[in-house]
Amino acid sequence: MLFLNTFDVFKIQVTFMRSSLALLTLLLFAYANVIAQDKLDIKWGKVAPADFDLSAKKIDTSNYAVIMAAVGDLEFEGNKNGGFSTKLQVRKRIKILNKKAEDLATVVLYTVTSQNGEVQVSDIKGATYNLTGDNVEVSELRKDAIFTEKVDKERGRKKFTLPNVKEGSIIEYTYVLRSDFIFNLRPWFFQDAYPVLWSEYSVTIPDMYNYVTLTKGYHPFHAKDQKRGFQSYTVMVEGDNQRSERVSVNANTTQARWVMKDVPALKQERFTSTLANHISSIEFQLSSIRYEGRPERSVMDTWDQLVKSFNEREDFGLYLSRNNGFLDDELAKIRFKNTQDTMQRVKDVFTYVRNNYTCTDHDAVYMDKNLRDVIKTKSGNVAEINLLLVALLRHIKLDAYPLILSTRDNGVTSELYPLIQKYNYVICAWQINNEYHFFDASRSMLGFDRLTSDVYNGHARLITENQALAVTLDPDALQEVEKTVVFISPNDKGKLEGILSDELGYFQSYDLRYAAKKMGVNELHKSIKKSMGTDVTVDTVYIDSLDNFDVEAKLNVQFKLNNAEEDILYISPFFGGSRVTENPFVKAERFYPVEMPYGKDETYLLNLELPAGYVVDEVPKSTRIKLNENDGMFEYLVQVSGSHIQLRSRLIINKATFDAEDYTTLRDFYAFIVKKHAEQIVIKKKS
Amino acid sequence: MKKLGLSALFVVVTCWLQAQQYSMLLLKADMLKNANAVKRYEKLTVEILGSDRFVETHKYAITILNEAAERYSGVTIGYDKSTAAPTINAIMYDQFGNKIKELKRSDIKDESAYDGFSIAGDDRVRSCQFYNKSYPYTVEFEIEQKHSQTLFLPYWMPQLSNTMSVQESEFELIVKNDADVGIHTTNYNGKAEESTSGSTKTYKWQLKNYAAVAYEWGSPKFNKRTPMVQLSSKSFELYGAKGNLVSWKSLGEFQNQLNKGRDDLPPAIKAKVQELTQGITDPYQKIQRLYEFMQKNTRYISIQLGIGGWQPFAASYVAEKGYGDCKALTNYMYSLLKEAGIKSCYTTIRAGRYETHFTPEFPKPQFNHVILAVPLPAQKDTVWLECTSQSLPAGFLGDFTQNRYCLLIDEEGGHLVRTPAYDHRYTADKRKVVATITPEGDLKANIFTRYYGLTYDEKHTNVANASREKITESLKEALDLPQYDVVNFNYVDHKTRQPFIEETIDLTANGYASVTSKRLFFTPNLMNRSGMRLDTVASRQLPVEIEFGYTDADTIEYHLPQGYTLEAAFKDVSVQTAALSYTAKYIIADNKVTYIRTMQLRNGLYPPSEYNQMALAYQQIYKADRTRLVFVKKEG
Repeated sequence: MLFLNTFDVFKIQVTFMRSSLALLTLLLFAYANVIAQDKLDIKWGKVAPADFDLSAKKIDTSNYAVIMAAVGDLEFEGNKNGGFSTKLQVRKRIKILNKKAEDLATVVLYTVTSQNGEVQVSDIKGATYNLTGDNVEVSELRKDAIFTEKVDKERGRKKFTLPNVKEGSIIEYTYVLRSDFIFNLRPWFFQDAYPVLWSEYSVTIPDMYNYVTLTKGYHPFHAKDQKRGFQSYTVMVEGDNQRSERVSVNANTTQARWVMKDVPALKQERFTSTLANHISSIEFQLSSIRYEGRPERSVMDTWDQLVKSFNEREDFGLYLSRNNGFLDDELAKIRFKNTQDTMQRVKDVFTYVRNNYTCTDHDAVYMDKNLRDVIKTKSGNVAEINLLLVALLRHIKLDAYPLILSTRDNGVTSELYPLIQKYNYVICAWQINNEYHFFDASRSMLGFDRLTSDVYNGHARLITENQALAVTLDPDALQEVEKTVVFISPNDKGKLEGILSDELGYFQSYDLRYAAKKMGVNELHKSIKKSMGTDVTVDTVYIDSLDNFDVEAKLNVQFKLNNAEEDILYISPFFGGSRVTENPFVKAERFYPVEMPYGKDETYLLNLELPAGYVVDEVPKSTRIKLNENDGMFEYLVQVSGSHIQLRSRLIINKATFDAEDYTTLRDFYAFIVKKHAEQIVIKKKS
Repeated sequence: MKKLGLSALFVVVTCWLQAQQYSMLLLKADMLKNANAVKRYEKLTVEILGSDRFVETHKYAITILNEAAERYSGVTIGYDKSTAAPTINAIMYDQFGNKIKELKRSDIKDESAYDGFSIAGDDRVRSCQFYNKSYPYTVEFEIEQKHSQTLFLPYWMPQLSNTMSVQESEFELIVKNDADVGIHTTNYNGKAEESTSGSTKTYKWQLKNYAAVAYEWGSPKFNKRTPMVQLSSKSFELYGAKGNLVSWKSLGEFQNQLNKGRDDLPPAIKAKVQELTQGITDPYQKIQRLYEFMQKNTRYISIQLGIGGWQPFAASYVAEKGYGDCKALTNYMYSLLKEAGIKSCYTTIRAGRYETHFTPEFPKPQFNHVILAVPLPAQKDTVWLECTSQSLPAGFLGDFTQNRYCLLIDEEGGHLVRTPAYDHRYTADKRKVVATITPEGDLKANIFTRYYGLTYDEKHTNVANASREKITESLKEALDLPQYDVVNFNYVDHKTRQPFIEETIDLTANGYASVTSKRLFFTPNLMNRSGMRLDTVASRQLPVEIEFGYTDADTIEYHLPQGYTLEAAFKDVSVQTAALSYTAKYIIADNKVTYIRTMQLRNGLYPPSEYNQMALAYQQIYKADRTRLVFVKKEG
């Protein structure tokens, strides 16, 4: 028996620094043997009248429930298949303060029964405690309130609901979750939509396994300690004559424990790509295995290993470079425009895949079916469609690679360590002249060499034949540029007429195309007409490049001003949708960073020629303000020369992500713009 | 006609089709107008073999013309313990009618039908889906399913939406015992073709070249207008329970049979009922007391197992667990009232804000929810109780069940009655605002509003049981103002027989008025600007139906800074059509502006010509609600 006295945990700590979304630092912790100093003062299954009184606790009572304790205990056990599984016992005690939180008394757990292993739920117990006078009334969870549902061949659900839950009830439940999937241990979320008084996760790992952990969030640990121990495991191994044999495996263990206390509730607010980036949590991935008497074997703890594994997976890279003869049939259907121009050939392949395949799931890194079936059904998840594109490009001898990433709503990934369960999306990269182009054929209206804003989420990885290259798709480097020009002048009858031309940014164009698809082009024209407001009558609307997905769209609107004959004319200078009418930062406070999808640069230019007989009476004042030193600016310039008024408004925001401390500044910045954009031009008939 | 034996049911429908019959070339232009999809062929056959079983075979082909009709390129069929799992065959054809794909057995998914809220249920679904982006293309499905109940029979509705045209569709009904089957036809011209062979009778309905129609704003619901044949079986079985469906009365009798003996309460609860109602003589007050007790001590959990879809869990179950679904909670409330000596009626209803369509003349189950009616004959009143709500006042139904037919069940059986209507006569927002505008253009306002009817329902949902912090949060996003802060607020929920909510909000809106060196601009309509904009049309085909009418009355008093006079002229506005009335008035005196706005939209069915009247009226209202007043500084 080999005794190892260190339990090395690589801890990747995410800290949030000023003006960057996340800074990842890799720290090496050699844990000392620490005795647990702080224990939870709860006796499970015993609720005393005094426990109902939470007045001494540091919590925000505006919430509808308080998680009094959430404790997870994970350990390994030998399984029947000659290996190890994990057993996680979860215990929770919750006080229901308001009827609106009664849903917490219903718990849904997911189970798996597949060839690769099982996830099963057992030992469900629970009770509701109600205080009536000085008595604590106990209502136990009975078997008839536990339901098992078969979802499909592999997946199932176990559900239970606690009885007699009222305002003021304390509910308590426990269950055991056994899983054969040990590559990722169950993550633990210390934070919730309700305040948590005590959250504790304890993990006991035998020395043959090492895990890396990723912790996130802003709340400090109340305790973090570890203990050395020893355990004997019983593993069932298939012996001679197909009979199972018991084998005893002894191992030293390390029990690591993390505790958070008085964790405030965290809720989704505007401009958040996902709460997962901010919620206090810990996640695990297996990094190495060291069986007795054998050398340590690392498991995907380097990017090189990840590349090897991805390229060997049948459901990812294995068949991408084979001599896939069946792809010839598919390539034969593509009408190549000009076979001499490589870029054009790539574009033709991309366009064919985009136009002929339906994406059924935009959340996948692996294929559920093989390439032949993807072609046959003309449908697939995002990995299947973009890997098909990779295979087709490789089949015509081009350097195409998959790029794996995590979309914004799925959270950021770490550049330092290959935590693969964090990835949920695959696009296609193509290299030419040492430059990469990225394609996503899974979105039916996305152009060639374009990506949607939700894939710009920082770190991503390119999977080549032998290495994984870090690629940054940086939202802070994105800037949506929009330019609107309006000319208004009197026609030959002296009436004011105008032409608006609006060059949209690419993401705006994408949204417009999506709207056109949803409501139809006619309805879109009508809605653009309506967006011009009631001060004008629209004559024509023209949208340039609506169907050319590769470029930005442009709007052209011709209109007449109504009421243009009165003695005094009040003109709101912003026509179309250019006016900032509302402050998007509604809430007074912000507790975590503001994550916008991209920066912006919006210019609005008005040229107004007065009708004969009118003079300028009042125009807004020119002004210019900055957002911090270099984060953005707002400029508003008005010039009057004779019967001409020229007005120019420019709003620049140089990055997408702002710290919580910058929130008030942003809010005030927008408040100023809203007010300025509401100002009027007044012109009068000469008296 | 040859008598069909049971074995013949497994013979695939014989209509062998010529190749390319689904080619686009065979479609006439009138089938493509206003259409996103064309039903090319359909044959629905229902054979009722007895009061306990029927067989349904359904073959149809739909040409998908564009992306908007993609939902027809797949099929989802539910089944449960009373219905065998269906067999599904699916073929896809290209625009020339050439077969391009046929699904295999393994392509058909079989999953539990998770409705998203039930904790338990045994419904499952089989489904399959085609993917094709080369429009147009055609999908053909053939489905066969055996049922071991006859309470829920299929119906024939060839057109599935207004943007679907129908080239050819046929419905064949084969019955062993003709006297036992009820048939109800709507919007179908002509009669069924009938034939008899021995004891078997066959009916046939057909629809050919039926065109799609363009969507028209405010038109009556599609299923009130499209051809449809519905069926009922006069004697039926459901999970072995037998019943009769000859009248609404008999459907109620069936429910009575299921509910029988499920109203026993444990002694502790009985004692509680006596304690709560002791000394109270007013029956409404008793109901209120017991309803609040039920609301406080139970919660809604949906369990749909076996006949549980129809039979309530016993009152003792709810008493023990403290939860139940709509049936269980209603039955529990019924039992509480019974213990207090008050008679109430279990009432089945089709719930859902927009689910108001009902065929009163054809008794058959058209329900998905249960509520409780408490008739008070002496008071000439009926108190309606929504037993899944944990906060509504006794006697108030929300938009979920108001103004529609329901089946009220007493010891005699079922009676078809209507729930109260929260129409424009009852649904109202009455508002009074006192506001001050500072010389800088900032606004301070005290806003007092009373909400009745359907807006009471909305407000109640937002504020009932909600903490002050949550309400603050939602109020800070709720109002349609460029920027504002809520300084203070208060809600008083008057949970009376005619409930209403009083809301008081103190707010500031910086820069609400735009102030320049000479002028002050502001829009008097502070919180109630109509966003409705309709375009007039050259010809309107369908009537206009207003289902959610209301009355609004706003009075706002603005106090302006000293030294301004009105510069721009303004006009009072008054708009009238058959369905709506609107007025906006301004009274200006010294530095005070009083703005008075009234708006009423009246429930009802109006002729097609009303549409253009309303479109013009809404255009005027849109503009009037955004009228800006301009004041200029007095000289000197």
